[in-house]
Amino acid sequence: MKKKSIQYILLLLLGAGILSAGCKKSTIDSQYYNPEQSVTANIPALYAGLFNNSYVIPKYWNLYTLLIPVFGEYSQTAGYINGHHVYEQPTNYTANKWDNYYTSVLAPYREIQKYYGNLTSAADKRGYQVFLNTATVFFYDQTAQMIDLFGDIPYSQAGSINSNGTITPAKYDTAKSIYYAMISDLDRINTFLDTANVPVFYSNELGQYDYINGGSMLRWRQYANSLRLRLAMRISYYDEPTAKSLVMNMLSNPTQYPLVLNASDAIQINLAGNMVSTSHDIRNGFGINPFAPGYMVDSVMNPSNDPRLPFYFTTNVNGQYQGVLNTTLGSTVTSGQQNGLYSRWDSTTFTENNNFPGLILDAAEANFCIAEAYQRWGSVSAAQSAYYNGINQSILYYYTINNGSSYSGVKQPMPSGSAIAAYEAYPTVAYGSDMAGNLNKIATQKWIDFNVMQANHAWAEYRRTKLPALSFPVDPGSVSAPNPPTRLLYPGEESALNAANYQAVAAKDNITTKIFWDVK
Amino acid sequence: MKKKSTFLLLALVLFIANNIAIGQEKKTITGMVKDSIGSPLPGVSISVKNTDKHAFTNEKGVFKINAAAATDILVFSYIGFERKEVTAGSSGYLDVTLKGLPNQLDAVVVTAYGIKKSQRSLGYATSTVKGEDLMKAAPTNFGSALTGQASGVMVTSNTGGATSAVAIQIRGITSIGYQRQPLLVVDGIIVRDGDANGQGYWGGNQKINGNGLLDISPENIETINILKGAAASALYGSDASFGVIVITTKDGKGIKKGIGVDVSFSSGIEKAAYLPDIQMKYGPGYDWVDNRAYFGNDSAWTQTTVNGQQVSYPAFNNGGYQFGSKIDGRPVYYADGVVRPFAASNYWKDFYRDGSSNIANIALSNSSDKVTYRFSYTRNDYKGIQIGGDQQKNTFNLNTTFKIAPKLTLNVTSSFSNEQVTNRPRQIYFLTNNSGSFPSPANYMNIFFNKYQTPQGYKYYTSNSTIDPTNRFKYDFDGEPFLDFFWNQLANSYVETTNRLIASATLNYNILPGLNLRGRVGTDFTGYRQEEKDRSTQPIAFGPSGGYGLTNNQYNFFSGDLLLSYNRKLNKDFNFTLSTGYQGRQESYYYNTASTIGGLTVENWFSLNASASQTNGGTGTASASRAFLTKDGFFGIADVSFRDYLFISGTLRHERTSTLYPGNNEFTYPGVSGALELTKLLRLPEAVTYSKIRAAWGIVGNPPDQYKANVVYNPSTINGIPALNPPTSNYGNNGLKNEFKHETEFGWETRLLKNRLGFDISYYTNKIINQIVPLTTPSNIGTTSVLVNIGTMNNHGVEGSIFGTPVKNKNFIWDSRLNVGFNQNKVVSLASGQSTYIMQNIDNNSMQVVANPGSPSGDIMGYVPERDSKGNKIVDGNGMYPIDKSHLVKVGNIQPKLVGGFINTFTYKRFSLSTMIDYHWGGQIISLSRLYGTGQGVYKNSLYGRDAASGGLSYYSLNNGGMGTYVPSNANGPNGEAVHHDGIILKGVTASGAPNTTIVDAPNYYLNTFTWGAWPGYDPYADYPDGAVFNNNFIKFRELSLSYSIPSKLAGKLKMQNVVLSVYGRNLFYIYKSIPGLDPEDAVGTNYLANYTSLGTGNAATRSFGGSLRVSF
Repeated sequence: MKKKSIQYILLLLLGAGILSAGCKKSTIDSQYYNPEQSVTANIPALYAGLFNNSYVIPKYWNLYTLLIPVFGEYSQTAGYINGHHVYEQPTNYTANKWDNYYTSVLAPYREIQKYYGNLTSAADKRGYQVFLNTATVFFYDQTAQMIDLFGDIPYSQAGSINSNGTITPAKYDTAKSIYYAMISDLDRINTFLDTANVPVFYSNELGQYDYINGGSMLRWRQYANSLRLRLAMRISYYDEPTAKSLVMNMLSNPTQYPLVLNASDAIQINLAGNMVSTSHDIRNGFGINPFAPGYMVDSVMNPSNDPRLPFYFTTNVNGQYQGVLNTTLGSTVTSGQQNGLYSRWDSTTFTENNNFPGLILDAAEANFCIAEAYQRWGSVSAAQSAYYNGINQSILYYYTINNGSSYSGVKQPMPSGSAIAAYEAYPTVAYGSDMAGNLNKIATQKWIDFNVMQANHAWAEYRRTKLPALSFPVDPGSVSAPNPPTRLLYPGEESALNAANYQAVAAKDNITTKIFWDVK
Repeated sequence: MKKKSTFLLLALVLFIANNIAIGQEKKTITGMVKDSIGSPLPGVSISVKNTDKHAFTNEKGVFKINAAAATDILVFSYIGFERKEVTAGSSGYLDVTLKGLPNQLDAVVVTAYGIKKSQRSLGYATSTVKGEDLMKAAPTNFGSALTGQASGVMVTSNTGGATSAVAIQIRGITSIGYQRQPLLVVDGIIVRDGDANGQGYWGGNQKINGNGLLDISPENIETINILKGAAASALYGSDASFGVIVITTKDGKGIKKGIGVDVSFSSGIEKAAYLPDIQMKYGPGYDWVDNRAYFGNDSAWTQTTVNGQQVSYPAFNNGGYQFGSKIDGRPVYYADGVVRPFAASNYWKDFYRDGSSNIANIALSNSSDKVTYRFSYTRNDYKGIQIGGDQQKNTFNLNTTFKIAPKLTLNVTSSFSNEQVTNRPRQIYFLTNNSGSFPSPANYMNIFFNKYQTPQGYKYYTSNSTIDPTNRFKYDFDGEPFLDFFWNQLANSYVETTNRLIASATLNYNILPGLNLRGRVGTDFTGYRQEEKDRSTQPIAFGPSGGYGLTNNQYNFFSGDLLLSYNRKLNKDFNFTLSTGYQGRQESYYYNTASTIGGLTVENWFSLNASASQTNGGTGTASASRAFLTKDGFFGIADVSFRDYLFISGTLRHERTSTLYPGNNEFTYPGVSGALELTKLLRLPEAVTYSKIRAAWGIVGNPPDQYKANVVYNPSTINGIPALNPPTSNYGNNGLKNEFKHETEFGWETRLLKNRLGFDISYYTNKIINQIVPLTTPSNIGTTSVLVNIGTMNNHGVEGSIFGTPVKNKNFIWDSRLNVGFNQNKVVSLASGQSTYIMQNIDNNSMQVVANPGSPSGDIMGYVPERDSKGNKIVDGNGMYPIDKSHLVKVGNIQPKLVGGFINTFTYKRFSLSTMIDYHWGGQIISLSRLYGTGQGVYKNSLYGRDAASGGLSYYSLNNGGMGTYVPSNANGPNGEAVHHDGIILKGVTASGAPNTTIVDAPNYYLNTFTWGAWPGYDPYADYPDGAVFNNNFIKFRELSLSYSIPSKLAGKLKMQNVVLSVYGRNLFYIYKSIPGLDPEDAVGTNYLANYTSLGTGNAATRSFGGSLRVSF
């Protein structure tokens, strides 16, 4: 009997074991979803996700692969060596930028549109409008930058997987049609934000999730209008009447069209908490090329004793500011770099500054846009005032960044009023009376303000204005790109995977096609 | 509810059945059944002819059966033995001896769920490999030892030695997107295996990883049965699309008296087998045009003054190009500040070291009436050829069978392994696929070894470091990735500790004669710990550096199954067995990792408390995640045999899986097979010893990995603000369906001339529908890939073996076996509107690996040079071949056509010599490292035309322009342009059809033809097919072993039963290979797509030699 009971115990144990291995249908069904991810989304969280973009916030990959070595070179805001196959595009890196726009800007934006469209309560429909409209401003900003790089892009049909769950490769919309539609819609958004009267629940919620403008309607309007000003100026040589009428209308109604005019108004993502890089993204990003641009330093900033020099650059072993010229023999530059003969981007302001903000639009740029508009279409004295204001705001802005640095190094004092005055009186800086000279000065100041951190804008403005007059030696060693391109090539995935739609733009897909606004 | 009632019913059945079994028969004949050497045979089936009376022998071979009359005929049958009929007689006692069937025909094959079947009755192909055949060359794992051993089975070993994964592929490719490893079943328990390094270099941890099968010690393997087709494996349902490997471990059976002790020891060395063929004639530099632009001189030398002394050095920092001046022994100022002669060597020779492998094993076994057991302990000590790492492993194995009661046996197996791997080998992708890291052959490898760390033990300082100008490099040079590699492998430490327990308990209950119940539970539990200590790279004064990370993962497979089977003989012709069962499996994975961020606050203090940055008041950063998978199935099996020559078997499984969307996750898998033994059915000539034909059909499946189909959002917080982002790639699909493989096979096995010659051949054809792939999409849809069901694929194949014993006499036996596996894969169709599926996009679509309908999966597509209507290559005004970018051309396919092995064993008296040759034929392989290296002038294939001696033509360049301005001349040009001697004229015609006469300089030909980027709009001359695609055929002498077993008389004097001494060599050499300058086995990854596109990025493959001693007491 004893043996028998052992038998039963064993059999029962076995049965119990199998029972525990056995599974209920509900267990099987409930284990379908990954416990670490979210099955549903909501508009505020998608909105917060949209702004957290690695091509807006200074991240290693963008700095190292694209901004400094590519845009920095095409705009001469980086001190590059005129080396082997220097103008050829690293197309896998430009493709990263392309993919980032569609998967990390357009896709979340389409999700916001979808969730907004699916809202059933009237209160939500009204309340979340402000999320949708402010997200649109950011989305347009990023879209315009894509057009400035590539020209025509898939746009109106893009994002099908997020909109409706289908895989529908999108047709290309012309660069011009998107630009014009955005310029027009930004006007509507400005009006909406002016009159929205957001219910307090939603405005409070916006205040929590909007880490660009803290839920301020005024700041969003400044952003929208300044972006519209930027886009209008960019088409101003291509379609001067339209640009002129838009811009002069905005400038004559400053209450209706608030702009980013003061350094403290800059549209930027302030880094805090876990947004501050602990892996030194900016240091590693500048690792690709930390050296000062030659023409900018040697020919422009140094002779005029630019007050931004100490914010921007370190001095070389001889205590001088010295950039890398693209006409110097490569091996000479290399040994010069090893011997400390070249200035580098300043560590406090840039390379060690983990607080360097996600810069979206600064006051100097808007002021220089105004200066150019007045210079071409209005009062020269208003142009001059905006021009000097631009310089002053640029100096103040970089002073602020330098002094807010996470780096423990020496913080530079604010340049004295007399130093700034002396600078502004210097012949190549002082505002003059001839149109061409003034436009060159405006463009040059904008280029200095952009520096390498906004090199994509610097490159776009250079292509639009051909100012300042930069020189790019021909590269005889390159078969495919002896000169700098005027646009980026489409990524290979487009011709391979979106072939039918790509056909429409295939003829334009070379490095010499100009963006529609590039007519000078 | 449903489940509970099933259990109650079963319990009831058990109870009743047990009580019935207590009753005893009154009139009996007793007796004993033995084999021809007198050992009792347990489990022999005895029946009274023309009745349904039935009995079995017990474990002592004793039986009792009720018989009516002395004239009754008793039929004795037992798998593997001849059937015998004996008249009962009147004595009431019978001694019966059963004769074993001829060798190998009696084989018992362990099929799905551990169900043992006679090989004769199987209607599908299986391959059985004995443990002892795997052990000849002292392998560190059974997987690589399987190479060539079984027809239709291809084995690929990840480079890196004993710690690297081994892939097994059965009958070709069955999934475009989710090809996996075969299901691994050890003593009836499904255990973890998996793939390694499928994500390439950037997607993974850059280490050459292992997989689960490495933990199963070959020392403990009795047999491996490979279930190949769908019918054989249909009972495993969706786990079985890639075949099943059923491993039976050794137990204590067969030990006659006392405790059996087996001891073995083997020791061997390993060496790098093949090294890249580095050219050693030219130093660093570009072509002369670029040299002039960058260095101001044609040959790329820099002159500088150091301590008042004029020194010079070539362009060691120019992106790895080796088109500079001849390596001529002149004094050169090296980057470490030392002047040495300008001399060349193959740096790879110094990169690798000699490795070693020692394996010791002891096994104890015993068998008694109540308990049979075998215990074994194995110790592995291994050091691979890559610098830095080693492995230690302890494996304990216990296999015990308890006879609890006459009708009840309990089998408990457990295998515990404990492994520590330090600095596992890394992929060398960054050293061979990266132009910035091709060091010049004129660089001294000992500079790298001496200088990767500073005298103070910090990481090397680059030339512009301000930390320590004395010890920094004097200038930048190509090869910094080597320094980083050495730092990682020699300074940092990365220790992985794995504890794994595979255990099972199986209870067999013989309820009634013919009615058996078997229950089993098992677990495969792994605790994995990884501790990473990255040394501080600089003094703390310059900022914190280094890091510490600790990872603890747990993987657990828990499974159980219940099988109730009933066997009955209907009449003298028909016998059937019906079985039903349930099987369930849960997998759970827990991942925990924590690491410092921003460096260590105290140099080389390896602790989370040393983290320079802190998160939320904690230390460092931590993350954790989980994953679960559940599958279960009810199944039924019906086996019917007719007159012992026709066998029909049918199986059905109904399965549920958690990896697909609810409502979409239940499947039924049927299988049917039949075998007909011709030798029993027909009168065949005497020469035919045995002949059987077979046919089978079945369906198995393959769902995606868990969570892949989910449509979800990725959560994060941004400075405390909750955020959600849609997936940027691998977008899910709730409508996803399972992949189904339908397979039909036919086979014929025959043995002739009393087994001196035989063959076993199978033909199979399968179709796999609903192929699941992560479809690469243009990102403008919002994501770069989406999981979809895309189409249908099929395979046809023939696999077989010819085996025999050509010579057999008193002293000499020659056994030979040729295994052949031929597979033709084809993508039948893709989703409507889809003309091609890009499986891998290489260099921004410069080349693609695709699935094209009508072709095997894995076509290589590339852009090829323009040709005229006569097929001549066109040469343009630069003297180069322009590439036709208008369309992609198929230039190969990555799948092999034919794989197999040729095994011979020669036994002369006490000596035995075994050889194993395996072969791999058909298909192409991609080596981007070869392409880039050729374009950089690194390999010998870029020497032609560089100087007059190697065919270079003389020319000057008009106005010192670039390509297209060259004028043939032996003297300087009219404007003083220098004459160069590195011109070549490419064979081809101009656009007008005239033979080409335009000179191009050789460096520009190589660096523009074999360069990165060949898609439309980019480099006009980059020729990927020419530079990176190679035919992949080889025949390799894989193993050689010679053993000697000392005479038993001598052994007896030493108190030993058996002593065998052997020497062996493994991975010896290629008898033939089609790839020039490369080892076809230097790729990374177990997945075929990863493996056949990564040649040259793995560690060098190894060649091993050693000896072993085996002693039995």
